[in-house]
Amino acid sequence: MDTGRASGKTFEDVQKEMLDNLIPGAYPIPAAVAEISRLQQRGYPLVYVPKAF
Amino acid sequence: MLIGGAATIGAAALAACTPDKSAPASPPAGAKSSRDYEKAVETTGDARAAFASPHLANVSTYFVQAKNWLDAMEKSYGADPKLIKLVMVNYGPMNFITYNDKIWSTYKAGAWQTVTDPTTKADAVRNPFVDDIKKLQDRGCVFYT
Repeated sequence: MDTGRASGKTFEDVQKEMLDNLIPGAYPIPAAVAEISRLQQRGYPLVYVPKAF
Repeated sequence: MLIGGAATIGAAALAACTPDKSAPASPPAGAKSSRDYEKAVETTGDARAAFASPHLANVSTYFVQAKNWLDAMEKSYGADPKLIKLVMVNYGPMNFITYNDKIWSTYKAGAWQTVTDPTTKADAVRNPFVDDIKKLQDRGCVFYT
């Protein structure tokens, strides 16, 4: 696959590219693992969707 | 996706670039406020939940379960649809669903993650999930990435 590094992009280039190309209404967060616990503190029960049933 | 005080990097970028000490400490100009994602999940209602999954290969189940949860809250438990909050906390490969066609094309997400475009029957070079996501957003789902 064509990766950012293979294409010579810098970290800053890739960061901007990712943020500029979110779908409407998507929110970038610091880390999913952190937000899962913070959401639980705010009364959001967690439902984990596994790979397969 | 990581953003804020540490570094910002997406699923594609994760394999592409490892942030180093020169990585910026804050989001680039024009990026969403680091607190927008918290405001998006504020609600006074009790019908709230967080779904989490990294498994892009099982995205159809992810969406079906979200729809079932929303249906149950509205129809069986009588929750006010305007107060329902379901947060889809994506991580790992599942982050791809929150990126537009440019990212899917640039990073060959379909070939990388074995996602077939139902229209072309080939490896997806566009995000084939945007319509499903829009329907869920219209019902109170918030997508984190």
